[in-house]
Amino acid sequence: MRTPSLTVMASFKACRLRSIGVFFILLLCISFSAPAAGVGSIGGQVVDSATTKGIPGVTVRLSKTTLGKITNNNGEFRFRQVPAGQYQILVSLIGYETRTLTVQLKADDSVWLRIELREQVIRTSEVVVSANKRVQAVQDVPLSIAVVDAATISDRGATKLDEVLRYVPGVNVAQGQVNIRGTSGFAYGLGSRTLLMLDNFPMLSADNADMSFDALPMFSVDRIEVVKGPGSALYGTSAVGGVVNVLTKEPSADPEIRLRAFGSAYTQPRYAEWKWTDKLLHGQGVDASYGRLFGSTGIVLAGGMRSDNGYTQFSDSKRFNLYGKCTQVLSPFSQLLIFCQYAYEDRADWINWRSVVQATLPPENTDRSLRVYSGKFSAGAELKNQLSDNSFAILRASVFRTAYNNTASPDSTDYLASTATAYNSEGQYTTFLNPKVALTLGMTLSANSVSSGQSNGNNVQAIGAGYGQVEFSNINDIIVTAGARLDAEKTRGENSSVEFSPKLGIHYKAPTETNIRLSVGRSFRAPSIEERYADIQFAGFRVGHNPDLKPEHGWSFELGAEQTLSISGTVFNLDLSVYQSELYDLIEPQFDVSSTSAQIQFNNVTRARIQGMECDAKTWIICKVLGLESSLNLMQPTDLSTGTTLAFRHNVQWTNRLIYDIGNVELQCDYRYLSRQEQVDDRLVNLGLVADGDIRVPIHVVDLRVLLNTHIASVPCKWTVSCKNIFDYYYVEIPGNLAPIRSVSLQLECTL
Amino acid sequence: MHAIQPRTAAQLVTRCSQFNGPVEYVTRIQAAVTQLTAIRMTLFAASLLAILYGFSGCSGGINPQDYAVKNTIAGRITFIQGAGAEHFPPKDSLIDLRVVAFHDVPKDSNLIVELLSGTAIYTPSTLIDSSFHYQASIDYSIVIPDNQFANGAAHYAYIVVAQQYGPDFTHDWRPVGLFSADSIFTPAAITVQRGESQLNVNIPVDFLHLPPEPYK
Repeated sequence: MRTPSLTVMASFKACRLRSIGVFFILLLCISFSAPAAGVGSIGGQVVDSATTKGIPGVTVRLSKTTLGKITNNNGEFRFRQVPAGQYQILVSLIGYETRTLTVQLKADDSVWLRIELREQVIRTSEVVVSANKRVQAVQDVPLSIAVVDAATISDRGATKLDEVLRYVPGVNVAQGQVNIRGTSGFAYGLGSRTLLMLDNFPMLSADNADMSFDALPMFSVDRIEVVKGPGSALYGTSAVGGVVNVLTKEPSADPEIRLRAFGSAYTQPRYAEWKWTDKLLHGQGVDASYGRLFGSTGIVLAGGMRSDNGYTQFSDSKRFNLYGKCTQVLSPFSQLLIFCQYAYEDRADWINWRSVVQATLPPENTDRSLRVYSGKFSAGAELKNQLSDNSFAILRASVFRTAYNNTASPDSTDYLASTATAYNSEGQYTTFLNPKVALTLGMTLSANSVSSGQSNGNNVQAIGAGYGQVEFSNINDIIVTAGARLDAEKTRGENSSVEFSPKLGIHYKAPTETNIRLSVGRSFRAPSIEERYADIQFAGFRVGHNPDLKPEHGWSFELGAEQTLSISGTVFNLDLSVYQSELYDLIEPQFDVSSTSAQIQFNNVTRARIQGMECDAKTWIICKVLGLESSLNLMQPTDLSTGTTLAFRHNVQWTNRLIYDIGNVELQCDYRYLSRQEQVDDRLVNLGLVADGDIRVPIHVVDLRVLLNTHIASVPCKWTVSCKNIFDYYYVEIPGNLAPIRSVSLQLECTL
Repeated sequence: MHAIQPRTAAQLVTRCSQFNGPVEYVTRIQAAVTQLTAIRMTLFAASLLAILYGFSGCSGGINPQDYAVKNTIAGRITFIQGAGAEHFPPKDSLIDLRVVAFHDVPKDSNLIVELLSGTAIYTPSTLIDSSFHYQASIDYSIVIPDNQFANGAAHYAYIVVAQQYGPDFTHDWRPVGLFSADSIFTPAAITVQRGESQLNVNIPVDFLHLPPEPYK
């Protein structure tokens, strides 16, 4: 006999699949039917204003539509079969000023443009899609957004997302958990308060609602957008601290093959107590990608593998990943995107050190034969359809499946295994009611299905939502954005909740070229299935389920200003923001000493307030030879339930990047400072769960890199020699876990 | 009128390469500029690192030697029946729980006599304080006072977990766990050299299977 939860799951899946199918069929029908007006073509050449030479790789977008192109080697682009009408063309490339042009296209007409781009003194980014679910210049958005471009990712030799996010202003990462402006602490991976997306598809796991960094194809990433502040009005659950959207590269008109190989080695710790082997501890890896447009079809294929001995005993790992993306222009008015990704990891399993004196050794009772195997698979499809010359619709459907198990005996209390699948679908409609009013409507349907021994069998969490947003730019230099979203959540047919998340944003461009932004919004996070239904042994304690767990929620406010200044010929870009978050019913593990059934249970306990200020500055000194980026985040995160500082937060975060660029050689230096965490979870220490768990220090990490751009047999190549944590500074990010020690690496990246 | 000066080394190289003089002259200039650039970059990197090193406090972060345990006996007490109040004695008979290390196997049930005579050391506070939640294990440590060392070493032949089960602090104690080399409660001895520690003195406690009381 089927259990009720299985029946609910099966019927939900069937119903959902049917609805998604109907949606796509309807949209496909609409896709092939042309809007009433005739069609024409828009093309042109993008040139450097100084050299008048064509610039390849420039992104050209028709702003009210879904259409986008990348210029070829001559800097040329062409949109064919474009419906007649008035369009705004957004032209952008990192290192150049973004330009917006208005074009009037008549039926059967052909427009050819010559667009000059000026080199930009400050390396600010181009356009973003994550703030309002459509393409916008970053300066027009009433939110704090940080963008990390592909060049920065490549320079840092990043193979995992956290290696990049640690240097984003206001963002910190602790053992896989992303913390934007103090909204998250550290909860052993459970319940991320930051939403992660890959090409606009949600990528949080269905069981723990956590991020799997190795499931992202980092070698194919074009840019990473980090939206700071509440995002639930558009994105729903988990977007409490913000949204991280990882956007992959588009296939280029000319075939592009990229290869990367790297090797790294850890240096020996300087304390004899921590030296546990005389062998060289090293890591290595290779990545490859291929992208090309074949007529109306574009493909991107990528894959990579890496292995690492780790710097502590019994912490080795092996990983590989495969990624494929296909874009297909179905008609002049619609485009289909399909992606598929798989990642696999085999690693040892321990988190905490034996003690601070033996920080590179696992606890004594660690079973060293134990391995953890995990696989992550995701696939999705997106159909963009231009319904008329001023409206478009997007349908998305995706699946994200995570599975892991360790090699303990299934009868053992150490045995862990879980298979979880997240199904997500979304329909979005955006229309320009007039040139200055944009309306976006949408609905989403999601289901998280988990099958694991530790959460009492099969569980399904279903979330349905509808959202709407309107942007007014009627008043001179002021853009007002208002929107709201209603989410209904039900888990295992037992408990349900409804969340209403409104938001308001105002952007004002002052005559002094100052961009002022103001935003206020509500956000929430529905408890993950594991938080509600976990039933496991943890360090000798019984963790029991709590089906009555409610969503946590909060309100956030931000006032910010951005200004570019020129002082004695030196250009500065400054961004200052103040923010406050009021958080309610935060979910925390609690100890119930009187209980004989469950001693640890997740409960809605914490009421918190986070007040802070963030200041970012960028400049190029001495004629583009010396560049400096600096960001300071000061905050006061208070647990109002206890009157103390929130645990696992750094009140001061200061990140700096210095670039010394002399032609083909570039020297880069990163310095990251985080103040000592004022609070950790005392229970970890008092109950003896983590030996020396209260030992922590301020964090000072310096990374140094030298990049050399050269040619090998006329193939452009980039050599990177890098030393991470060059001063071998020893610190912890979470209790009882020594953070990475000094390592030296050599990387070669070639583009064919 | 001053000529416009090249602003970067790269521009200088470019300018030199446009010079129509002898090729060798241009090559020499280029080599000199390259050398100058390398020296400049090295100097820049060195001064930058020196500044950052000073800025980061030169402390190097966590130093295990600051936390090195000296003159200490430490370990973990594991409750064999596992976590949960139902696996422990009733609250009114679990008044105190301590680890006591004796130089020799005690002959008297009166602990105070042993302690006053300096032949035993013990955990300074009870193991069942406010942080005790009937968990499956507890870590403990005892710092060995200086007067315990004879000829640079302290010797302990009998180390137990002792439970105070009644109101009489002097007599109502019984051993509930013994540091033993085998399962038949043969006491295991340890010797700690001055300046060193014994960190893995782990003791199992089985409330259903207690070690014998040596003074009976």
